[in-house]
Amino acid sequence: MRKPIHDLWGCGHGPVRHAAPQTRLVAAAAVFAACMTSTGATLAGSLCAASAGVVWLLACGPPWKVLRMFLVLGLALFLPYFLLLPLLPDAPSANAGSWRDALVVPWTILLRGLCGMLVCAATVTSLTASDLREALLRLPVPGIVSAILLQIVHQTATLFYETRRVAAAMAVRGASSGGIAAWRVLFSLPRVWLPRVIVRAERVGAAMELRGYCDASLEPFRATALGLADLGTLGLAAVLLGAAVAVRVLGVP
Amino acid sequence: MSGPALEFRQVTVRYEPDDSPAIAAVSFAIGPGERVALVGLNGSGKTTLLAAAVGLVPHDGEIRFAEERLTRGSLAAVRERIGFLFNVPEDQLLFPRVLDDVAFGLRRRGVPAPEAAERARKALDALGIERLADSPLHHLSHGQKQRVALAGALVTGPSLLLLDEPSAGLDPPGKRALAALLDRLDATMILATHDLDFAASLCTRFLMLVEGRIAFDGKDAAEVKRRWEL
Repeated sequence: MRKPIHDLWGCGHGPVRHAAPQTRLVAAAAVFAACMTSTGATLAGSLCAASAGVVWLLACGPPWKVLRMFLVLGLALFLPYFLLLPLLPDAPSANAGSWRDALVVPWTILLRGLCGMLVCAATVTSLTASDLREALLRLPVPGIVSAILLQIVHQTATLFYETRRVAAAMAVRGASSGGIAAWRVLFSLPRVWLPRVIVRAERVGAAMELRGYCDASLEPFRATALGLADLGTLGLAAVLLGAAVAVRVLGVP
Repeated sequence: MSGPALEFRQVTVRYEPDDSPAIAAVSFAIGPGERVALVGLNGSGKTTLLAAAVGLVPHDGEIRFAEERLTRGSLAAVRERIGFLFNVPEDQLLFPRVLDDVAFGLRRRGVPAPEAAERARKALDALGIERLADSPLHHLSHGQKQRVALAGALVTGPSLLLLDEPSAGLDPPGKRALAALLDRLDATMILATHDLDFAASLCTRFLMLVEGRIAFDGKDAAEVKRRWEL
């Protein structure tokens, strides 16, 4: 049976796991910012984004299968744009003076998109869902935002299993399985899946109301002291972000 | 505290104004410490009755908890005293880790984290699932989730327990352990269930709902069984 996507949380084995959850989240945000700050217009900028991504991947240690999956997904998302943009008549790069200039925009999109996606995926593998809760509660994030984010993560698993049950029911009743069942699930989303999800959401809402989920000031559950691992992680992230900002501001070619 | 622990006076619930009522003019009173089985066929109104009791669905009529009328203003205070189990456990589990979920009710009431964790572990232990304390919730089976949800309902020591199908999805040893655990509690209890044997092992009174109305209110389990088989 295929591993649920929800099991990506906390499946990494990199050294960053020694740092506190909130440190990992802050450092991940800094590395993500480094990727977004870098520009594909210069070699130094491209190297900055790529090295920030690679360093963070090494720090989080996601399994190869997860890495490959996100790599393929990222390329599938950004590569078509990269290839097609120079051919579009209304694209901003169409008026560029050379092929190199025309490719700057799609290259930057590919670079930032892919690096950003890999940084996010690596971060997810470095945090269990419980770690994420601890991290959000320890950071100055508004309570309602934390509560909504945590529920999104938590309910993703429920929705995944709901989808799998719909697919199984279709496979059993329609005598089809595998790819055909998957397509049928996809096409049946408005009729089968959505009403079920809405009904479930109503019940979850009732439970949240009854248990006082939204009224409660959610506080961290576990005590965590910050140590050397936290300093190292934050230092690394700061260096990556600093380098990206410096290259961008100073215009290093 | 005096008077009934829970009282329904002519309570009617309609989900839509033009629909026939899900429960119609239901009246009963349950004394402190009493254990009542709410039985009935699917769609007879058991879950609606429990939902009305905690203000999850709007109702006509009067619902009272120890003489305190259930209103918008009293809702929060009343809910503090109630342990509620939904019939689909996944719906009420709101945290990624078992221990976090069970301890939530305590943390919300201001119990310090270490004490809340210890009491949550004890509640899990009482249901035979202490080993699952650090497990992600989505890795559990239905029966295990049922027990975790129940631990979350029991951990705060509520004076009134409203349990919707508590034995559903439990294996026979699990049912026996649950019955033994509930038997040890002093709380007033209403169990909505199809499992007459489970209900009979625990409850001293039976309310039978038929199409949203109380068709039987008594202590005779054999009579309930007879009506059930009609």
